[in-house]
Amino acid sequence: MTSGSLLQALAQALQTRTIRVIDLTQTLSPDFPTISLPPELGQAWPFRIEEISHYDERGPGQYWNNFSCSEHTGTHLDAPAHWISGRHLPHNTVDTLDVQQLLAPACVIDCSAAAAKDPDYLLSVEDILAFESKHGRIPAGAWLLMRTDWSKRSDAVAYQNFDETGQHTPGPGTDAVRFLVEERDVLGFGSEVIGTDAGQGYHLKPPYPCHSLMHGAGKLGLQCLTNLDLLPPTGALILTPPLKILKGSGSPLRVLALVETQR
Amino acid sequence: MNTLHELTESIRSRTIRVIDLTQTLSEDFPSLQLPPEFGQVQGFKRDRISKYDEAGPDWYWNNFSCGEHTGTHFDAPAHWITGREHPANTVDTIAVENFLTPAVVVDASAQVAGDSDWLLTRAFLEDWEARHGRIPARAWVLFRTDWSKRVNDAARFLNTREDGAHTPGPTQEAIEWLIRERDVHGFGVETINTDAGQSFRWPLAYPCHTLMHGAGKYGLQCLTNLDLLPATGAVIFSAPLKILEGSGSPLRVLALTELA
Repeated sequence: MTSGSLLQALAQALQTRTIRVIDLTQTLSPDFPTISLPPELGQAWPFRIEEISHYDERGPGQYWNNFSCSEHTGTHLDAPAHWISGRHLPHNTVDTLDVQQLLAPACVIDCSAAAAKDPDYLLSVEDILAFESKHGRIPAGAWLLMRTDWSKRSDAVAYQNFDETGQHTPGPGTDAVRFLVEERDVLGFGSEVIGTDAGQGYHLKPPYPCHSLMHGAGKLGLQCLTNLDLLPPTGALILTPPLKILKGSGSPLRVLALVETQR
Repeated sequence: MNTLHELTESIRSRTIRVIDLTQTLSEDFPSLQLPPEFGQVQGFKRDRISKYDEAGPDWYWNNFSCGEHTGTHFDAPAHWITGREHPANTVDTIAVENFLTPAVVVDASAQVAGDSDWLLTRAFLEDWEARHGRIPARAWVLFRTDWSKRVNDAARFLNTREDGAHTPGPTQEAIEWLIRERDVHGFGVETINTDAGQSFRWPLAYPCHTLMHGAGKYGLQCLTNLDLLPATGAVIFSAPLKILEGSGSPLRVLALTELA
């Protein structure tokens, strides 16, 4: 092999597991909960799968399936065009995003204790500054991932967490979103819940601030992540390649993290 | 500086370039067609949910349907009957380390331009090795044919006549050699089939599917931009969707390459 010393080092580190690969993806199955909106609005399809053949008369040598879902089913990425605030930005759909951005560092803020006490917990600017005082400044172009351990709610009802007043799930407060966009120039915001915004985010100003302000600034979202508890606060590299859907507003995807093994 | 930190900085500064090996997934992308007595894989279809309108005033999104083997896609061992007994043989159970792997690129574009049924032989691979070095164990072998450049003409891309598809692929002997002598990670192609279009007539039909998946190895199909990759030294990121018991998946395939 003649080229590439750094990539050779990467390949070797992967082989010897001095760099580990962690799967941040929930399994895509008919059981995975899908976002549900008021009935007058258009609805995202849950994941459905239909066998084409399974080594049988429909295809003796093959097993394969057709499937259907939405661009925002399961662990998925939100592109800027998903929100009206990002509709006129360049490269705002999954087929036109700069692929260089699809590998980016991540900072993980652990809000699991707070979210356990309060399902409506809002990440604040104070939380971010406290994180930075321990772990250093969030670099421009990094993902900010909000760890809540929400992914451990294997029961769909507890995961969605609806009551008569709506959905109760944690997310970022408006000031925190504004700070991440304007003061830190992050790549995007990632969450373990089914929305990057809190379940009660409709009542914030502006409504759904993470969608509205992040996508308005050309930034991305990641939802339904898992295994954030396996990541270090800083130093992980996150791989987030959406399907290349023509003019797609988002996509289910496999999210992987690379982390250096502690020596 | 550790390797991961250096990698992160090099991606940011673009001394490592990320190259997209994925075809755009749209209604126009050609789908594999089987004889009518068999189950059929669906082409990509889309159904708009809302676009900043009364169905969703502030948001745009779509529902979609397709096959696990539509567009640029990954084949897991369970796709073929020979791989059915392997452990971790579906896209949700394959160890994720397998999704980030070095690749070599074997350029047969000149040969294929003159013969759409051109077959990749062991001799051609040995000649490639004489020029570029031995194919390392656990590397993808990507077969560059420039077939991807036909994508805007579905008839030329599928290249089907009354006697079947006429597309290039590897010989049985080449596949046996890649598995037994080189222990490759899998085989990737620009066409819709890791096997040659006419391979259904061979004594061992579809040898790449049959033998690669039988050996627990993987396939990548409908790749593009292989002409932008070096013969050796690229690292390929090819992580399928985590479909429960999925036989394969459409995916985004990216290559990392280092500026010389």
